[in-house]
Amino acid sequence: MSAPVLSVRELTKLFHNPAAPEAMPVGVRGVSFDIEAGEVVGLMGESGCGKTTLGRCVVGLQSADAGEIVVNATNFSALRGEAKRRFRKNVQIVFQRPETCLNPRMTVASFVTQALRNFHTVARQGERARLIELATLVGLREETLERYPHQLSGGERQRVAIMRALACEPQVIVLDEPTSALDVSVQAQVLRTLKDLQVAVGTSMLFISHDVAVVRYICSRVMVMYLGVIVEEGPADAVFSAPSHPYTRALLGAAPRIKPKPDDGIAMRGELVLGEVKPGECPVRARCPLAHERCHTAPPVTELGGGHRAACWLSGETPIHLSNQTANQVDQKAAS
Amino acid sequence: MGEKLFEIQNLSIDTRRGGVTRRIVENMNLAVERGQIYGLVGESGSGKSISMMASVGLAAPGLLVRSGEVSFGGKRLAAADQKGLRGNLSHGVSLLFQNAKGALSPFLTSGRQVERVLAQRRVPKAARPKEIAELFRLVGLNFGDLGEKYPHQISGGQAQRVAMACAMATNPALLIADEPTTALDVTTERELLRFLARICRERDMAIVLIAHNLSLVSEYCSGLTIMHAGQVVEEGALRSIFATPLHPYTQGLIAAVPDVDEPHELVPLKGSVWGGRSDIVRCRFSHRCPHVRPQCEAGLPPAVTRGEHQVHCVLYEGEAA
Ligand SMILES: Nc1ncnc2c1ncn2[C@@H]1O[C@H](COP(=O)(O)OP(=O)(O)OP(=O)(O)O)[C@@H](O)[C@H]1O
Ligand SMILES: Nc1ncnc2c1ncn2[C@@H]1O[C@H](COP(=O)(O)OP(=O)(O)O)[C@@H](O)[C@H]1O
Ligand code: SF4
Ligand code: SF4
Ligand SMILES: [Mg+2]
Ligand SMILES: [Mg+2]
Repeated sequence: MSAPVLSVRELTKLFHNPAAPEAMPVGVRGVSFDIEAGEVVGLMGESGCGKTTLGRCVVGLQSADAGEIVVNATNFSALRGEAKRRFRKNVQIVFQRPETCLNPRMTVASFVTQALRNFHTVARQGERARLIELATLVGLREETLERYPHQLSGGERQRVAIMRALACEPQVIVLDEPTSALDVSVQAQVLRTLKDLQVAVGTSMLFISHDVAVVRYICSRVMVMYLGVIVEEGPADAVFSAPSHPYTRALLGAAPRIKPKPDDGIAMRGELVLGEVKPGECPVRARCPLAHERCHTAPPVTELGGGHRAACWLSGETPIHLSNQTANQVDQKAAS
Repeated sequence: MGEKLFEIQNLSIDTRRGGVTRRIVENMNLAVERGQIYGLVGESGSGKSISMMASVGLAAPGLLVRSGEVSFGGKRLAAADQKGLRGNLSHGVSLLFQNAKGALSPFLTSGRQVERVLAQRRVPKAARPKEIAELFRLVGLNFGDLGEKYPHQISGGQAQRVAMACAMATNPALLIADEPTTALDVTTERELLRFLARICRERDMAIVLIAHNLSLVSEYCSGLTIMHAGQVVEEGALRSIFATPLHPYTQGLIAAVPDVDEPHELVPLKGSVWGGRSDIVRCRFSHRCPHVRPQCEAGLPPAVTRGEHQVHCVLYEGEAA
């Protein structure tokens, strides 16, 4: 097997609450995963669990406390200064609200050209042709290139953000809730464009969303995050058809459906209260309907076959230890 | 059939901009029974919020209410009588919006937000603490934990429940909930919807649940209206509509939504809500419809009853039901 395009190892970035130093810090705790060439990996979990923090660390917008981010065999997290700036072209991010990244005073053409020139991805005389090519890839008409952001619809703006990311010819694109501000129909258009892109260009993607149906549509592999830890991961079909972790079951069960399905009775209790989570225990325990004696110790990661793993005492039988152990170490460090 | 509590008939609303008049709600009808959660669905800009706000006397200034009548609790008023309709707000209609955090006053604690509503209702001071505690319990919050907290100190889901407590403080018979869960997580969303369903049953209220996604209403509503560009396209019993969605717009909305359990290719609707001609009376879906024919642009589409619902489309005209 070829080396992964993106390899994240033991990534940690924690935010402590100065007002409540006792409480569990939020952020990302010792997360490890790989993304292969052309793979679209989904990251789901509830608001505040650390999805955006992880995405921002991966593209270097946020510096991690610890851990490594390796892109195509280059240790991105070890780069500094100009080398880091130049390497950034390889990891691009698209946000939920494209308004936050578009420049209101720049036409689409000049905005995207800026990216082309920043990273010298194409010679000057080839710029126009490349712009048209990129516009076609993301499903924008050529005349859109001369428009300003306020003359575009929400879906078109998101296409421009994706177009700019592509202009850098990245190895990986992180998409952070790219369609959650869009109407269902526009969302369907953008999702199809992303799927087509993945076939045409083969860019690897980390797709962040709390809409599990969207993740199921676009991703071949998925990860479920709870309080900064990956609690379950695996091929999309395996995780969706046989979720193992109680939190995954609750998350999938709560998804709104056109054809409602009788739920399996697993729902998280109340909301996450950081003060209730004790270092060293299963982070889900305070809300878990299946919590029992063993759960006062964080569970190991269980291998369920085919790359499907879950971190719950009740999952499968052949425990191996992976990133969750690190979460404990991090917590112990934070506590001491 | 339950007792009709709230009814909108023939509501039409125009806007004027630069001398051009545009009809943004056309001939809308909607009826909600006691004990029912009624869904109102359509893409954004379809006129869901505008029509419901106008029906309670809160049409934005500049909007022209051209026709229509609203009945609530046995009283019937012209929709143009916006001031009169606002009276319903203090006599049994409450509103709940998308962004609860924004709707709450940033300077009041959760407890005070609710107390303010009770004061408006002239509940004596001495009786308020008990009622506040009661309302908190009703919406599943603990007053001891949250009563003294300000909006910025609580989560989105908690803020939505505080807003809910405020809405319930007037003891409403009808609650209009305009995309109340858009800012929430799926797990919190489900909790809020279940809560609405419970409260609706227990208090024999009626709820209008506005959403832009059909999957949100499928589980909790018994009646449904689907709106496109200010026109009702399909309406009636939800189970009948979901069993046989007839209008091309309804079918398009279903095809555009990803399914968690059985993933399928997504088919986006073409064009946008307000594209197409506005100088003729037509089916306002005609510029997006795969089945469009000349009759579609020769007047309002007919209402055809099929099963337990009605569809507004020429495709079904004259067909045996
Ligand atoms: N710069 C920061 N300083 C302090 N805390 C932060 C900072 N950035 C994020 N956090 C906190 O870290 C946690 C994780 O935030 P993050 O934005 O990664 O969540 P998320 O999973 O993307 O949530 P959402 O679904 O709402 O976007 C949150 O509790 C957030 O408040
Ligand atoms: N105050 C206003 N004045 C004029 N037009 C408006 C006003 N508010 C909304 N509109 C227009 O009315 C239409 C329906 O809006 P709205 O009811 O908010 O849609 P929905 O709630 O279905 O998303 C939209 O085209 C919108 O642009
Ligand atoms: S380990 Fe225990 S508390 Fe954690 S998810 Fe599994 S059953 Fe629940
Ligand atoms: S009336 Fe005509 S345009 Fe409108 S939905 Fe029916 S077939 Fe399509
Ligand atoms: Mg986020
Ligand atoms: Mg609205």
